[in-house]
Amino acid sequence: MRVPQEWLLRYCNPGLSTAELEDALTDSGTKVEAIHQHGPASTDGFVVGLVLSREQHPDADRLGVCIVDTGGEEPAQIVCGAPNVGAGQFVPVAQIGAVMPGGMKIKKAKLRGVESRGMICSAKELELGLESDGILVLATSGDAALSFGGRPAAQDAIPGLDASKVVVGAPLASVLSLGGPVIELEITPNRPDSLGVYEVARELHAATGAPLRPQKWAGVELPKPVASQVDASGAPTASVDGLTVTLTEHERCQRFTAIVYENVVVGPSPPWLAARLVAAGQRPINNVVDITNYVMLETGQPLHAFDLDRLGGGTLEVYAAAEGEEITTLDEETRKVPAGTMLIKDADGPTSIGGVMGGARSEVLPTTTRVAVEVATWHGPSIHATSWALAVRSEASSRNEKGLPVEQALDAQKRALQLMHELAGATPSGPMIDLGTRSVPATVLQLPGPFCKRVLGYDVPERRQIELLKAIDLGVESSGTGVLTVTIPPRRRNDLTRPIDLVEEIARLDGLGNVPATLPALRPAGVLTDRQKADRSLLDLLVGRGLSEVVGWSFGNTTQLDRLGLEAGHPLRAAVKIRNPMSSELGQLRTTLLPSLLEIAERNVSRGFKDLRFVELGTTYRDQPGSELPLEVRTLGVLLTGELLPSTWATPGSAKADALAATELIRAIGALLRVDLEIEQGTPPVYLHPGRGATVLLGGREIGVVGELHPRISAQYDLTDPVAVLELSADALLDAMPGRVQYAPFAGFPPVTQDLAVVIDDGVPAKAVVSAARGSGSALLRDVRVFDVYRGAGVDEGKHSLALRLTFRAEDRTLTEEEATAARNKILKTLQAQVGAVARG
Amino acid sequence: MSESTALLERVQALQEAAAAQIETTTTAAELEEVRVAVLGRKAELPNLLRGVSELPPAERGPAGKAANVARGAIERLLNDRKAELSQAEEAKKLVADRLDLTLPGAPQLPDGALHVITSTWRDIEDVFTGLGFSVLAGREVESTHYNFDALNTGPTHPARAETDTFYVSDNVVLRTHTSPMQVRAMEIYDPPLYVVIPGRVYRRDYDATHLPQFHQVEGLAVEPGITLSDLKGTLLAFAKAIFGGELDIRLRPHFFPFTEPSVEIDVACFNCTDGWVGGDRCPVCRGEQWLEILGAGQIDPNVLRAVGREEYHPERVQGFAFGMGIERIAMLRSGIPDLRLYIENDVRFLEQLR
Ligand SMILES: [Zn+2]
Repeated sequence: MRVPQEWLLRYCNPGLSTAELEDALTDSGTKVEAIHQHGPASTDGFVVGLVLSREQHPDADRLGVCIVDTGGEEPAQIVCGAPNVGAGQFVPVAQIGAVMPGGMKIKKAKLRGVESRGMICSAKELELGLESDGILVLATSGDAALSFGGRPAAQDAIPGLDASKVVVGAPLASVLSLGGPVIELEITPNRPDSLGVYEVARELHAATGAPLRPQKWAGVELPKPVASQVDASGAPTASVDGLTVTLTEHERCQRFTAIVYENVVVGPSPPWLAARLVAAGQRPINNVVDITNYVMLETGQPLHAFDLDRLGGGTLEVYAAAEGEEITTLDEETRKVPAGTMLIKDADGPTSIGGVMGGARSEVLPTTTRVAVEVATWHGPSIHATSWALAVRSEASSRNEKGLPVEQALDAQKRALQLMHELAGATPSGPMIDLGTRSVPATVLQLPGPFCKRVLGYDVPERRQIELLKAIDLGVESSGTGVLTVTIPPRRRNDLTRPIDLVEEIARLDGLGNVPATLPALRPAGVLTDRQKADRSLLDLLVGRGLSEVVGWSFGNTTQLDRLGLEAGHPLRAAVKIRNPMSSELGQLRTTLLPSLLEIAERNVSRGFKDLRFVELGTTYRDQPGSELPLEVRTLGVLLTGELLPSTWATPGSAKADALAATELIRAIGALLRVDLEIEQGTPPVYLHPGRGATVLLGGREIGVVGELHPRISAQYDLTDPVAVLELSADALLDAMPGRVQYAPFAGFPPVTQDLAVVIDDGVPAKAVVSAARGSGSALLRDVRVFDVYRGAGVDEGKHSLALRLTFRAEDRTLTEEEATAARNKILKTLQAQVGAVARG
Repeated sequence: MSESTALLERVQALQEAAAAQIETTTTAAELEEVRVAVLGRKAELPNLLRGVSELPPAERGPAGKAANVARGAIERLLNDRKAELSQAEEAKKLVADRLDLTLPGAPQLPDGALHVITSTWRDIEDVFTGLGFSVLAGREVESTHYNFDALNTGPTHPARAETDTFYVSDNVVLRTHTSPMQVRAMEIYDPPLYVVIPGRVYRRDYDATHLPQFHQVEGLAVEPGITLSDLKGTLLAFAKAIFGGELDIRLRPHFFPFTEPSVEIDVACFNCTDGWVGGDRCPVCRGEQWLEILGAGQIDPNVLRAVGREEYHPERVQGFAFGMGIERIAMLRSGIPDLRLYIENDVRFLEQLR
């Protein structure tokens, strides 16, 4: 909310600078978001000038050379580029030394060789919040009234202009409100009471102790309410001369008040009011509409003015919309409203969306003479729902949706009555219509003395508690037994409902600067669990092997899954869809980390980096039929492409990333976490290279994939080198991790190694040979490792040779070579029998 | 002079001469020559020893002994010199085997890096484990019950709007904060409860200062007698640990539906003392001198009630909760100007903030 500083200070002036005001408000909980300067920071050097002549600039088509009388001894020559400047105009002039909004200081200058002493200003340059195409013409010499450049249309009026003071050399500030600081406040949702200038002043009063002046409308007498009846349908209804109001929906419109004014003179608003509206961010329209906006800004209560003569049948009915109803709102849009929306209709149909926006049909125009000022109290959640359903946010809806107290309606009626009289020469033509609830019982709370200290950890003396609560207009009585009885005024009913709410008021107004810093005395030891430590180690392992961690989008899209070539119904297609995504690209949640790894690789390759090693450890999401919440799986993804080890002067020959680089990481992960990971090269997933893809099994269960990406898919991402990937369920890995390892004694007898080369069919996987060797029954065998693979001369076509290094050890003695050889021969027999191996050489 | 006296003198002379010779050798071969010359078959000293038997019996003992001692001493000198020479020779060989260590090392194993979000995340976890908190994780796709209702966030709160929150269905959202785990944690664990909950959260905003996904750390301390002062002490200790040095924090009143009283916490700018750095506005705090880092407060009794467990009844326990943005902390510490850098994953960004 934008609050012009001078308006605020009218009600409470603690004598502080703008910066000090900012601190006082922010420190007490009304956060200042920004200080805007409306108009120039200083009015020094801004005067009214009269353009005596305008000549064409000799060297610039668009520039004029003006001689301007600014009240000095000699007229000033000013070069001006505005197309509308001409002799006989009274204009704002920034003289040498004046500082423009934004900080530019006016200096003597030469423009295309012609001297210029000052600047003729536009409304925009003065930051008066007005649109402008050219300089601001305050008046034209010879105008009978010297007002508004002779143009009567209110829309074109210069808000805030005091035409009677437009004379040559007059300080501009005396003619036009040049504004001043405007304080932009963040009003939190719990404080709808602060959405009015007066209540912000009350906060300032409570925060600084400076006196709060009474509300301007404090002494205003409203006309007596007219007696209401009940109509045929049972709805309350009331009539005054020219207006009948029926309230058919009471639950969502708790109070509806209206006052009829006759002989209303519609015209431009006076300068002070228009200036405040502009500073607060509103566009002045005419005095009656401006009064409704002004009163809302001052009291926080929205209100609306109807042109009674354009109100069909002189009736207003508040009701809940039926299915399919439409309304044309003030912004001239026809909107279809959801059933149940609160509407106000006259004899010709809907004319306003209650609490949100008025209708075009009965708006107040320059020709209006009879006006009904309506102030109503709406059910907050309903207004909120309407506002969101129609995507209409207005100053009124943003207040009404918070649920305003019914008592506040009369504040707005009083202030409006006062201003209608002062500015539009109008008085109420009869009694007031007042339907619905007029007040509800006050909230009374008991605040036990020690409660503050129990919550805050420090003491605020009772005397101080009372002082602070009274400063925000709460009724406080001390029982003498240490319990305060606190009565909440209606305007604070929303957020002060429990003793804890009062503690917050006391704490924030007392100032949080004095809160001592203590630590909880009995806090336990904080620890990471073994699983959390292993999760860190997993990432550290891969980072240690030269991979860079990336953090990709949780979001994804179906195109990514199409690119992987996944068929309909593939498990990775079970994505969680977002109902209201930022964009279709971010339309669902990822089921796999691979697309984002590929996109990150693609982006880096396009930037000239093609040796890439990425790891991501993050969540993937799967829709679970029958469950409202999806499955969330912590998932590990790796992508390697390009050179893995560069050729160096000492170790010539570079190594490129390939499927084996990825399977080696699987081995390392298994070793780190002490889980048995098995590579199963059956039918790999469609997105992997058909000859270089595999699934990864843990305890026989598939927990991921490893291999090279199908070259056709890498090509789609402009990746020309092989792309090695792995994707594993980190949850499955961490779940399978054994508990703390216990020490087991190990014997000190040395191992004996023997090599064994066998020839096998190409169809037999190395894994089968190794596991046959392990299963051969040799109690001495400790390890089997494949250290060479050979194809070529000496080995038949369709076969290859594997060289195995066998490690034997006995726990109770040093093995002899003979024992080892016997064991080796036993293994060879097993291999011959089980995998058709033949000893080589 | 008796025969034996002459013998003893001779032994001593031989020993001295041998020592001098040993001293001057420079190679193992020279040393071997010396050994043969002083202790070999044809050398004088062994022969002198053989001559001892010809002495009168009474003199044999001392003379024999002296000769043996001399022999032993010479052998020791020979051995010592041998070790010295072999060390010197090895050293010479090694010097000749020089490698230019200013050449690149090999093999060149690549360098990896943790993403700055992860390293900051871990730093924050580590500070809080040091302060007595354990670490929990929560789900990201969450029910409106845990994300809003149980956190005292009514149906009209603006954060629930479809313009602000991602919806999967009417009752399921992408969590907008890590706070849903407050209630879930209290449902599972008994007080005293000291936990932090880091994780990914989502809001519908996308520009230089907002990403639709970002990361938060939630904190929660619940047991009887936990006060707002304890909140301040805990977060002061945190701020000092994370930003370094003896800096101050300040509490500003604010509003969150799930805490009462609610505060925002600013940390004194670690980059300046008065908003200015060398004549320019401080780029870290933009001259404000304070940096907003988190929202916090005393847990609202309605949140404790939403747990529905007697152990967490607001008459029995109370506590504080806080939530901070990981990106924000990383941004402040490393001077990262644009949030979109986090999600781009440019290798230069990843390697720079290693
Ligand atoms: Zn700073």
